Amino acid sequence: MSGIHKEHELHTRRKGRNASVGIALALFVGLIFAVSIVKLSQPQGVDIKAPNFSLDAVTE
Amino acid sequence: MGENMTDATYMAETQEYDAEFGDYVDLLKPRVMRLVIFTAAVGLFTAPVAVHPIIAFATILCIAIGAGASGALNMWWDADIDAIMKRTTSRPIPSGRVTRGEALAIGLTLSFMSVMMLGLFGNLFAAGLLAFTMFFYAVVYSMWLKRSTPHNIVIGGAAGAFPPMIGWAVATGGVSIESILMFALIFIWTPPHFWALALFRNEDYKAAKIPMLPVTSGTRVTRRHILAYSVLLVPIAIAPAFTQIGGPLYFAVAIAFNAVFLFGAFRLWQRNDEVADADTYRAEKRFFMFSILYLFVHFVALLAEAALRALDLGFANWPVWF
Repeated sequence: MSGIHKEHELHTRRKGRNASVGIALALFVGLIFAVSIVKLSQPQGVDIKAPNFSLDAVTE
Repeated sequence: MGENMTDATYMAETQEYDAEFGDYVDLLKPRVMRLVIFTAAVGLFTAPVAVHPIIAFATILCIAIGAGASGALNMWWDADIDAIMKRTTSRPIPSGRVTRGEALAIGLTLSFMSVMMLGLFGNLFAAGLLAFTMFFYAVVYSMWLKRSTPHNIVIGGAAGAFPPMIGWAVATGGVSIESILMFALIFIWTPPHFWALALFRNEDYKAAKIPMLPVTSGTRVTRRHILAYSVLLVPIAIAPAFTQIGGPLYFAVAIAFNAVFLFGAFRLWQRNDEVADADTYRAEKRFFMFSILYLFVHFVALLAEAALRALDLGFANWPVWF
């Protein structure tokens, strides 16, 4: 068995595919981040507030 | 597996060809995805509720990936017949680029993820509609109808008709006459479109033992069905002109394109196999190609009407009957 430090031929062969999957995942993370920013910056409806949250407590 | 064998050596020895990323993309039927993206976007942008551009992008992406996932499940299920038909032999599974197991795994994973993300990005109604569409395409059409009835394409066409309805649901959270008419337009358009293809690909379907109408009932009956569905399509294609999303531009486009479509269907009905063989199915091929343009132009017109309304250039006194 070859040393653990040596890159296996399989990994060299699949480098392109793995890189593409990595880029796709990074874009997916970016998309979730962008959607989160949009959702958080929009006016919050009362139905999505936390159960123990009171609007009166904030406005007082 | 040998004592010193790692999972890497095992994989390397059992698989002769490693799929590239592009092979997995091919599994999602990119051409079908393009149509889904377009019709879903029209459904979303013509809706009377404004959607943030990033939410619109994210939800349309979910709908497209959902459509791609059901395409992968369809290829997993149909690998045997895809290997027989000329049109489909170059698909990833029959050409040996992707294994059936990979197609199933990708199809199921992306199905689950697309529905879940659409529920989070958009709303639960739209996500439910997407889940139903994928179930309809993968199970009702691919597994059940396709190999059992010559009307496979009539009922199965519903799967391709849902995307504008899902786009509309993302914006409005529901269903209305406008989204139902967009659904009906694609639903009734699908049979004549595919039967025209089946006329000049008849040998393929025969070899794969798929009960398409020309295989089970002959080309005469198929030509009659194409004409009947084309006649039925006319009022359905014109009706959106008199809804909130229609207008004079859409009306003019619908009248012109339906006249040509109907004339094409009439010509196919007049022809027989001898005439078609003599000119290598020229009219059938032209009708098939025109049907693609027909659907595209109708949806472009709806988008143009939405743009005109947004710019306050809409026709104020245009009648809205539905």
